[in-house]
Amino acid sequence: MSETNEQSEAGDAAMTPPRRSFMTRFLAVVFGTVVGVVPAIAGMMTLLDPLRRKSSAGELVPVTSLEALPSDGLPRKFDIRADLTDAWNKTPNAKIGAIYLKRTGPKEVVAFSTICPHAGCFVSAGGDGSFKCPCHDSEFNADGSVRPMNTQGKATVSPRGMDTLETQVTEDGQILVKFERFRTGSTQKTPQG
Amino acid sequence: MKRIADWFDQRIGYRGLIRGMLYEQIPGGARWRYVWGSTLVFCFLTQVVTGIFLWMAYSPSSQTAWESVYYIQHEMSGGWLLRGIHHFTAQAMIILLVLHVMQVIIDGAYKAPREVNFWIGLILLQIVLGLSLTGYLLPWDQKGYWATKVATSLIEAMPLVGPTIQKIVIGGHDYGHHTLSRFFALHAGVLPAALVLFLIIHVYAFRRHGITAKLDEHKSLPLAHVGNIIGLVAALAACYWLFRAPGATGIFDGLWPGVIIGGGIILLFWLIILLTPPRRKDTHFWPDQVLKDAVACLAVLSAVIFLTCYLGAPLAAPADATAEFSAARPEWYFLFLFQLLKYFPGELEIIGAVVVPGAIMGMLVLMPFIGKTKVGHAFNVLFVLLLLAGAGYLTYEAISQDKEKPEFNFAVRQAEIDGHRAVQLAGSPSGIPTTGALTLVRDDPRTMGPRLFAANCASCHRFGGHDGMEGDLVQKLPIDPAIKGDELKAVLNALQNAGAERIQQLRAIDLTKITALTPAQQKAVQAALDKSVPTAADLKGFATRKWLTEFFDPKLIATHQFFGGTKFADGKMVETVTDKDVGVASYDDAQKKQLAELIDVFDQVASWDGPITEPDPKKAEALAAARKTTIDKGMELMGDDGLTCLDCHKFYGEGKASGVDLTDYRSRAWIRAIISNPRDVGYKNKTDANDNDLPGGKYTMPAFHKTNQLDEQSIDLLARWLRGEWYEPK
Repeated sequence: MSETNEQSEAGDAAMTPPRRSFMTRFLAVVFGTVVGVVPAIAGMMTLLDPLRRKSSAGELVPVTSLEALPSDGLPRKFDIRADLTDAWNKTPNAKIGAIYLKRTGPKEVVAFSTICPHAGCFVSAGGDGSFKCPCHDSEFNADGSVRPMNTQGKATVSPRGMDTLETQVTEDGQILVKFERFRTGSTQKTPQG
Repeated sequence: MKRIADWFDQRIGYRGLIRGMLYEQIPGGARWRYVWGSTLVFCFLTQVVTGIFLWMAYSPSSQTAWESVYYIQHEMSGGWLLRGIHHFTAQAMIILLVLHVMQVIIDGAYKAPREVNFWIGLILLQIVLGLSLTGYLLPWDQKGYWATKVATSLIEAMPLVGPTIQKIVIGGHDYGHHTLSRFFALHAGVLPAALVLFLIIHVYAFRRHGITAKLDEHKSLPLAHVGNIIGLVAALAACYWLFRAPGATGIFDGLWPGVIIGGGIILLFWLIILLTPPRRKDTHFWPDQVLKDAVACLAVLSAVIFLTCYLGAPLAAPADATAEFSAARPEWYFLFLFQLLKYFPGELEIIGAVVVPGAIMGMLVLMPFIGKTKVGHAFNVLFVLLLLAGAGYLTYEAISQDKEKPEFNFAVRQAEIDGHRAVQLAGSPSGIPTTGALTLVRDDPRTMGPRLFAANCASCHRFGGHDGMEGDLVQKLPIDPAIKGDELKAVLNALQNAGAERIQQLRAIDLTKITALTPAQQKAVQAALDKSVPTAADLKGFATRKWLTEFFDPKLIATHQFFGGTKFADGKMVETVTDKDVGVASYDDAQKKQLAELIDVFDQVASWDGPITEPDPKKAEALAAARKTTIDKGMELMGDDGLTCLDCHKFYGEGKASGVDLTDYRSRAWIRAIISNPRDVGYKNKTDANDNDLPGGKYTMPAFHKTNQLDEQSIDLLARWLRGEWYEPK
């Protein structure tokens, strides 16, 4: 056994590449590629499957009523409940996220996403109505605009102010909010597609 | 036996392989300094072995990941040890990698003909970092979830292709089952396979060119000692700073871990120096170097086991996209990258996230070319030392900035509490439902009650002097906005260091004695504290007998505890208790006995949760009879011949409704009712027509359910929490 191996190894080194027909080489490459690529394509299709899924966000969902918002304009945090799809699981009326809501007038409200536009952390609300991101110390004014400097005297890193969400106040004072996510790290507020 | 061995060797040639592996020439003899590569291989093999065993018990999906990790950690025998080894070996691997890379660069082992192998080493470094990053998410706890969110958000921030790549990486628009399955496939499949492949090439190429011998090592020994001493002092200082308790004053507080680790390092270096003669004969890998490698691996394993026993692999509460988590930080070895992001505002973020790390990697790749000359090599060494110092500085900044943030420290403490509680719930006799542990957490009064209270009730009420979540009020103090930056820091630090976590304790502090504060700041803090006086009752212990007993104490009734700052504090009920002629204060012994009996009655009433639901008709009948006896007794005690409570209060249909309805008073159903709509239990709103007749006419507790502010589940959670009804392990 070992002798044969040695022989063939020695043979390989000594042998000059024989001429082979073009077809032989061509077919070897084609068949080799096909057997390699077909399973890989099947794999790639499932790997890229998320790209063809559309975001489920986009509908106005009821969140609370005007009475729940203090008249001093301080923000309050509310859970967003909607139908949640997580791959094969569908959960009706599940908590899918959170928002800050604040009153800006008798019948006007503003909704902010809790997701920091910088890197996606959960922004905290301070006692004075301002907002602060616990990760990279971005600070936002009560109206959601980004502060140029944070309390440590450093330049704020968030590229834009807190993302506002579309709201609607019904006749009887119910507040509806369109829960969306936006692309992080950009000065432009672009909805995630 | 020999024949069988021969038979196999003829067919496989294993003897040649083993000979090649074990009898490699080591010029200059076996050395301690050659052990780093072997310890890395050892760590990787440990990770493979522990990883495969973990795999046998792990289940990647958003309803089972945390749950299966919990089960490994807390239920399976030896699970804590297995997970601890896997967790801490991963960290040891990072340290050893840094040492290995440092040594290669300082020794010039990246130079020709070893350039390609150096690059393969850099690829291996990236793979190991990838393994760390993907592994951090797999327990699906709050810590891993939020830290990984930052990492994937950075992918999204990349121009053009960012959002597409992010979607592929996390397997959809949002985190879920497929995020876990993809990360797990990377962590346990793709990356280890790539690592094995490159490791084989790495070791093969290393054997091809042999060890980079430093034959003139003895010359550099004095220099090595200087290096050792500097390293030792740095290690001691780092340990001292890391383990020192906040606010510690004694010089040895927190020094002991530093002394132990530092002592270990001294011992190790002593051993190295003792056992390393400056020049020796060439030798083989086996057994001299293998022994040294084995000792080094044993040292690594000992450190890992020590940390497993001393700290244990952490598991925070299950991941929840809707729960604020302000303690989100990456693993310590990524902290310098985390900190780096703080210096690149706006769209420059991409520079901190991608460009700078990319440029550093680029520099490392170019090192073999730069290092061709002596100056170039010196530059490389200087570069890598500066890189290490820079990373060290950023890590230091990240940790020290966090240490100074009271809200961060609070969040870390809260995360520990929540993690501990989630584990308690998962270990309860009812176990984890198929919907996952998050269901348990979200339906746990102990976890959710304080949060709901702080968010919805604490603007008026207090709970034991705080807002439900202990210590939170320090952070939420309405500090005068005139105090900025460093001054604010000083104020908050002073408050923290005073050990004052609760408003009541804070109020008891003589602020003029906190010397860290200027008189102006003292005044500002005092003003802030004065503003934080509650406007309504303190609800801690509301449903207990103690609460009711204190309520009828003429000395206590008028305190903040019962009526806060409401008008009820000057109302009829307070008068009824304090009046020295007809009130409780004037009661004779017979009346006092009646009052005690009445408290017994209400203790009974408070334990009823709505109508009787007992399915067995006989038992239900007995319960109903018992209830009727109690109610009759209450009627008698509160009627005209008793304490005349029914002149103002309603009790199971009897009495007047000008005061609070005492039917089912303080029971779960009653608390639910008052939160849902206070009018349902007789509390009048200022919009009511007869509000002028009421002492609390300006009292406006919102109808939380009627106005859609809280759902039924949240109200029930609050009621259960106020009543102290939650699962406690035996």
